Amino acid sequence: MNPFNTIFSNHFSKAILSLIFILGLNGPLALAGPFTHCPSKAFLFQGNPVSSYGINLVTGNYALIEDNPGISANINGLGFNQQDRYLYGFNTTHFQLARMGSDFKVETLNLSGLPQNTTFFVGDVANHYYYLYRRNVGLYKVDLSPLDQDANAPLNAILITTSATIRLTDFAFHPKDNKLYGVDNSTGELYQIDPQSGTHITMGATGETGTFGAMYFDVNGYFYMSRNQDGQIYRIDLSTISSATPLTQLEALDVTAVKFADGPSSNQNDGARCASAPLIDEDTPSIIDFGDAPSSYGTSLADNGARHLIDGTTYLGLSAPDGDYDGYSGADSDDSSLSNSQSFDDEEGINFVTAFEAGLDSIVSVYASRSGILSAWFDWNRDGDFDDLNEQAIVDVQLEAGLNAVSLRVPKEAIVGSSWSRFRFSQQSGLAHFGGSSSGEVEDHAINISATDLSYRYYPGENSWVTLAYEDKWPESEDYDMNDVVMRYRTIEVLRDNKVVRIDIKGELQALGGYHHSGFAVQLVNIATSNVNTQTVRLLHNNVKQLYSGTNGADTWDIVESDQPNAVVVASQDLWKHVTSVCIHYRSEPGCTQAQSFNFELSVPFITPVELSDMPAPPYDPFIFGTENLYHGEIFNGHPGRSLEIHLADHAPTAKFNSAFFGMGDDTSDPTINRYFRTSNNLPWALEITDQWHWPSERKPLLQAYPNFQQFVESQGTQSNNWFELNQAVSQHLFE
Amino acid sequence: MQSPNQRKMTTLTIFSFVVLVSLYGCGGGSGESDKSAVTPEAIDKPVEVTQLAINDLVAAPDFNFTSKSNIIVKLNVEQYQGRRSYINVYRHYQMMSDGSYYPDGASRVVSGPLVDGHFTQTFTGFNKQQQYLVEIWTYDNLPPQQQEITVTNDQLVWY
Repeated sequence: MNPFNTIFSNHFSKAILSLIFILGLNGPLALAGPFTHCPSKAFLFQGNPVSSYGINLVTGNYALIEDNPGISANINGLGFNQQDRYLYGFNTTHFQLARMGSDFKVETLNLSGLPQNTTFFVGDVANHYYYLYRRNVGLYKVDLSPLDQDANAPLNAILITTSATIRLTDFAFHPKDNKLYGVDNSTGELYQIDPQSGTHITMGATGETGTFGAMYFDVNGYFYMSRNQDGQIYRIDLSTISSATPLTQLEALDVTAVKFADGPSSNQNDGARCASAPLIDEDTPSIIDFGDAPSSYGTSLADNGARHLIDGTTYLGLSAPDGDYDGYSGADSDDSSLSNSQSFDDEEGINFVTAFEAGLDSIVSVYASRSGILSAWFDWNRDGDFDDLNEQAIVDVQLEAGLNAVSLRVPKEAIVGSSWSRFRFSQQSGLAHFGGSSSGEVEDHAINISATDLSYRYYPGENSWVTLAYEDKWPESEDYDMNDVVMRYRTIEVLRDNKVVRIDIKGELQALGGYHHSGFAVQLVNIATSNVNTQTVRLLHNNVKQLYSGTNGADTWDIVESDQPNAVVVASQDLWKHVTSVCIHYRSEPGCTQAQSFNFELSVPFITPVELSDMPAPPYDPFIFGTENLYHGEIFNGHPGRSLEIHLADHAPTAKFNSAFFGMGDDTSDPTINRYFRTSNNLPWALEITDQWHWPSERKPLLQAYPNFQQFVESQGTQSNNWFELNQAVSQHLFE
Repeated sequence: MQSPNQRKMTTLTIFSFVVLVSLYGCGGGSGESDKSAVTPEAIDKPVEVTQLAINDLVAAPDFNFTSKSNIIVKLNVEQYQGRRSYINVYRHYQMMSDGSYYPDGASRVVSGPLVDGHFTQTFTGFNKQQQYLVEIWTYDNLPPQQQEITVTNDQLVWY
């Protein structure tokens, strides 16, 4: 045996062992370091050795991230430090301060100053300080800034107060007032604790008790708590609190805990979250589906609206829904998410194949992607919510994959008219009409509750659109970009005994690419103004009922114009009053993308039902008109206001139009031959496009954007009658 | 009496043969659903386009810039006499693997009850579309009766 070799081997082995020891126990090289950003996920920590879970508070979904923390210990009282982006917590097994980086491996820190052999289960971080609390022991804080230079720097716990009477299992810092909030497990009272003095304020009963082992905030100031026993996640709205909120207002706040989602249950739980992060991260594709009923039904995340994690297998219809960043309200709003421009209409799994008639049965056709559980709510009394008795008409019905015909009974007290419904399909049962679900889809649908034996005619379809596009410089023809007013539009006729008893007109303003202010109205040719029931006529702007079609100071304008022979219903006196633009125009200049934000609904009941032979054909006569007292071009002597109208070709204007304008500029109208609103080349100032439409961007002529319009016109519509479709367009000349 | 609007809509009887071919080509005769309507890509580069100025484009003096016509849907179905039943007409739908049709609810154009097995109604059709899905539902959880019907003489007739 070679003694040299032996000596070398021994020395070498010791060196290797030393290196392993250094790297394994103290070596920062073995750790991944802090998080790279403030994560939108919440984290849940359970067990010994501690396992880390990522939890989506929106839906309650959770997944194991790491079950090997590199140490045999439980870590509790965790909080996310936004200064250095580490998670800090207390090692309850070895009574040490610890932190975890993005790999969720435990790094033990060098802390002194805490009572011996005392463990802490409650902690959080704010402003680079870690706070620990234990009932009957006290509230402590630890300055974490020395760790910026040296991970082994000695840290010292400072006692804030020994007065600690509240039974807490977690607390969390509010991102706006930097106070600690926690719920007493046995009383369910919510407390605010001042981290400087340790004094507390009792804010009231949350209505829930239990072991709330995990508490979090989001960036808006909503407080979340997860109950160990059943995993239920509750939310308390503390979003109105700021550092300036007076005590009286704090004590008057409604702090009722509202069920938010179903998360994991555990007998040992702790939670932490970066409080400055929004609940849904808009930098990554959303995997959450929201509904799109009006906001009174509770649709947005702020309203705890219904939402589902898109699991790829549980959905309604033939294809999975797209992800939404929030619940957007309004007609077809699921289509028009600004943050998710690729969003499409995914409300296609529910079909109302029979009428909803008060007191009678109705059939709903439901297409399920796989087996699952369906619940549905109907606003039978049309009061804008799904809260009333009997409004959950479908309760946990088991569906099979494919088409399912589901029957339900409409209550005899149901109120006739338009209303809303919500369908939720999931692998979970017991869902409410609000709150998160860990699988499936929510579909919100407008419904018509009808008296018996009504028929309906929809133009162009029950939930589809034509597009009306106007040039607002009539009687001058200018850039012909057909985007000065762009309105999606549809009509519904309600018939009894082959007579029309009511028409509904819906519109969605798409663009205002002109310089002038215009109103929007519809003339019902052949229908007398006196036949419109002005007591029950209804105008909604963004689902809110309007008394007038417009106001300006003390001036008001009626919805049904009184001094007209033909009925004229007005949706708006000035479309610009309903929108604000990020650019000069509204949604017409390149790069000026913003969410569509104005829709209207006109419901026009007739006193004497109208014979079909007397009915004008849809789209009737929709037109724009000058807003009163506003400039509308040099060509007019003064402000033409309401006396200026711009209609589709050969639609005669109303009695309010100033016929002296005929023949001015490029107009060649001739009422004697029923020729209206055409140029000398017979071109119009307004077009009806029989589908949804992508309009030209600012000052891009229609012919450049849609070259086949030429053939369509020259062939009188026999060729290129799909000229307006997107695959016929030259994309760089479109707004988007 | 015909309204001025209705008079203008009775146009364009020379229907495009090209459109008929393309409908058959996509198998099943369904028009585009709203979802597929957003799918087609617009042209990225200018195609060889004669850049006609709008002032040089001349339309016929009575052309109304749409191609629509009134379509009558007629049902007279003996088997539904005395049974509560309901009909729907859709523009867009697709054929499923079992041969049934899946309608796009957003595209429903007409709906109403059959009265003693009868239903007649007029609606505004687009000339580029020649086929519609008509279905009859009863209130007994049975699957609907469905027919894909081609417009003939401006009528959809259930046989």
